[in-house]
Amino acid sequence: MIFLKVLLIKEVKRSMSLRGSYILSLAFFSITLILLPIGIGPDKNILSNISPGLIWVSIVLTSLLSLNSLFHEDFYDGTLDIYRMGSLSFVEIAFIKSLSHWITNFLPLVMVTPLLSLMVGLPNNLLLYIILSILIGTPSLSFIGSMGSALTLSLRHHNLLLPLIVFPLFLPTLIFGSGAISSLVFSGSEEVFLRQMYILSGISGLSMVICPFITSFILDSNYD
Amino acid sequence: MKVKLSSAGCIRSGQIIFDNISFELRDGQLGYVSGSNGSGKTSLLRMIAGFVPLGSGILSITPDCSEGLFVLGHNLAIKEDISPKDDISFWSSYFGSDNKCDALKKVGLSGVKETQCKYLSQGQRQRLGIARLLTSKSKLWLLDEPSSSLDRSGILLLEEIIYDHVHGGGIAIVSSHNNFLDKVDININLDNRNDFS
Repeated sequence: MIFLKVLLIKEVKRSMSLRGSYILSLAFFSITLILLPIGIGPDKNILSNISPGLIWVSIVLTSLLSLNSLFHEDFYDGTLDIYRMGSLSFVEIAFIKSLSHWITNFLPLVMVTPLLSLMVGLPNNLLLYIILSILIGTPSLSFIGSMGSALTLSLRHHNLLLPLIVFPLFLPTLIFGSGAISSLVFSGSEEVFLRQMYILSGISGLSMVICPFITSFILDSNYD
Repeated sequence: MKVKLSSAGCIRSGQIIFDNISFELRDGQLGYVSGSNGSGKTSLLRMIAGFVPLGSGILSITPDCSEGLFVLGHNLAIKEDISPKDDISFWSSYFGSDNKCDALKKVGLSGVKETQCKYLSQGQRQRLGIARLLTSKSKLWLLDEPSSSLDRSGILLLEEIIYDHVHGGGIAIVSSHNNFLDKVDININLDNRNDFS
């Protein structure tokens, strides 16, 4: 348990240092949410109707940006070899790396969502709901994305391949994430919202449990 | 602890690199792997570590403990933007040991322990790798060209560290092409084994 904590602290610290990708994620997320309303036009009704979808699509696109480098550096400079010699298994390492990806890339997005939701005209009373849906839904993106990152490990120029591999797997999260909020926008029914949130938390929970095993298997297969 | 390799072979991308290598090392013994470039020294060490699958033959490490070994390879896994002190303090807590500054002092890096790693020379990086070796509590050391880019005093230091480890009951397998160790228990020569390929 203590080794998990040591590794998590190190990974989070490392991503939060200036070289980390979280600033890039933050910038990309802000840029898309600033550009989209400008492209769509100033009609407040249209904007606030589609705002949950806009926010969720921006989040999914942002995650593709940072997932590329999840395992790459550590694999090529030999850090993964040394991790392997410690007492942690690849399953635990994959879990911690995905978790730290979530902490360093998605939590900052949650922080700026209140400000950026003004840009897309999200109804004020929905702010808490969308933050809840982001918090519950995004872990699945990190954990599913870690599989894609491990799969593209042996390719040096992998930037294009990873989005192609993981985007179909991101669809359920996107559908239920934005769907939950849209149901509030259109019907105002909290029950439909709750049902979609249950499914969303199911997707996240399931991917947190299953994906580290698959990722560790893929990482192992890179040692040949 | 006992490391036993019987008639092991290595196949990389369809080519036989070496074949029929057998040896046995027990506590307190030092193995030395020699061979020309491309003869499979690195592959042999990574094979023992379990990073590369055996092409043929049997490897047995008894008692089986995967965390009991440390590979010092070509990829030193040094992050550019942290200091040697932070590096060692992370790895020692990752390996669950507590001799933090000791290791840096021992390899002669205490003068630069606050400097960022990107300013270290190649020899200093190698010394940092050796310092990590000291913080890991592993019994089986697999050292792949550990003397590369070290200066004369560094090589003497390395020699002393390896002998200390072996005399303390550990096992070390060292690969190198400039033979800097003069007392080895087992010589493993990988040359002239791929003639038939």
